[in-house]
Amino acid sequence: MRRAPIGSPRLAGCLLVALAACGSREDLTKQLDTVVSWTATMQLTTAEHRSGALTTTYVTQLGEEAKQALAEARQSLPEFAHDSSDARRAAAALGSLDRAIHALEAEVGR
Amino acid sequence: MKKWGEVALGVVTSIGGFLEVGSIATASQGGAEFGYQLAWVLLIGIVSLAFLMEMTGRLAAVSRCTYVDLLRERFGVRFFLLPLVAVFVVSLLVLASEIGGVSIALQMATGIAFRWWAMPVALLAWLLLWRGTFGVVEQGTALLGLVAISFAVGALALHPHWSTLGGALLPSAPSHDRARYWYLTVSILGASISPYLYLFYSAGAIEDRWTLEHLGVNRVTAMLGNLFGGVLVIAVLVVAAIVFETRHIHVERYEQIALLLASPLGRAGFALFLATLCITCFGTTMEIVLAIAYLLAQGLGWNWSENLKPAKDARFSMSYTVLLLVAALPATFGMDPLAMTNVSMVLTAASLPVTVIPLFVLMNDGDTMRRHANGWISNIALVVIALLSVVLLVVALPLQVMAGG
Repeated sequence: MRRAPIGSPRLAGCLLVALAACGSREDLTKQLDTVVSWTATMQLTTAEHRSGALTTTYVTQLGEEAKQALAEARQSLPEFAHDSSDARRAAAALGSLDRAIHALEAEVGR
Repeated sequence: MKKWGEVALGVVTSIGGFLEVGSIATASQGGAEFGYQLAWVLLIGIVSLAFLMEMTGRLAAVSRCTYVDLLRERFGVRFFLLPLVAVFVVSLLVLASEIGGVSIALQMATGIAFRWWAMPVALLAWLLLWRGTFGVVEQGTALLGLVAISFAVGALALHPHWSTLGGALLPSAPSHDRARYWYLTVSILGASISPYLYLFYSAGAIEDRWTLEHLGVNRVTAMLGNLFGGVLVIAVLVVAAIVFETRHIHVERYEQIALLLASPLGRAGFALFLATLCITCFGTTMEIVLAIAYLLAQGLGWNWSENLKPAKDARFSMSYTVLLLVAALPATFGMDPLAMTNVSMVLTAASLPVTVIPLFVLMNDGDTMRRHANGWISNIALVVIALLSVVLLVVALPLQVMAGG
């Protein structure tokens, strides 16, 4: 029976780590896209509510959904950040969403 | 004159009936993530459904039997169990999604959580079915469903880029996120070519006592109705592309979709969106529950007709009663309507072969169709749709796992 070369398990392990890293990078991008999407949703909602196009009842519900998305992202984003650059991007995205939610709340509470 | 009245009614029914929770959700997700690029998928869905409805309508008018009756008689009970179970399961999921759609529209309007609306919505649908006739279900929801035209008005108000939209009617490969692109392709096709649509249409032809004289009405209704209805779904995609894609908004929750018409039409647009979602999903709820009840009654040989008193077709009436109750449960327990919709659309796409492939045999059966059997254009279309349905069956579940979220 032919034995597998000694380097194979190590190589396979490296490949797995690399694959896992690639996956995480993709997940990070997806998570950031979601946060950016919610930030834009909040900005559009605030603008439309200001112009009288949306009811406060509806806007409040959407604000709650955004808060939930923010809480989920706060928990999951640190898991996907590989380095300080990723961490900075994540913090900036979360900060933007947080500010957009506060702006909406200020608009509704006006 | 009466014939043209029937054509007009059929077209209006299709306009209201084409838009429902699945088509609104999948077209807005497609527009938000890929702009106009998925318009070609809608075109394929519209043309496929038009062919399938024309054929099942012709089959009913010529044979005076529904497609389900003929499926059982021609292929035997053992084979028939396959489409019966597949269509029953996916249609029940779609029914649950529609009830979720009405409920979420009412939540957005009132602030009362959607889970509290699911049972009252099911009860109202049951009451209308119990007390009403097929005409009430068909015409009532069709006329109210005209509110869906607001999407076309919204799209025009946003001044879409017509040449880009025209170019998107030709298939193209995704520039990013391939798995998600193909997942949305399958979802959009599932929402467009739902088996309940042509099963309901076939049963409706029998309810309305179609004969050979209705073949012209059938053809025009199937073509024009789907054309107009399909234009409205393309309008949803266009509005989502302009309002959402430009701002990098992805549809994560159903509540976001209500922003679509507020941008072009202001407060009226917001109200029209809620009315469209509520009315079209409610109309579809009644159509689907009838379609499933027809499927069971025709398949199992019970008395059936929405025009009979419930006492005259007790098992048929009991089946739509139980179905509505069961379908209201997921929303009552708080299951996310958008997630439920996406899963049900993908499974619907996967279920297509069991109803599309046998149709090819029936439409070419000289004993059943006599001189109204399929010509070469219809046969080519049906072969293409059958091949497409097999591809959807193979790719639907892997794509749901890879990109369904």
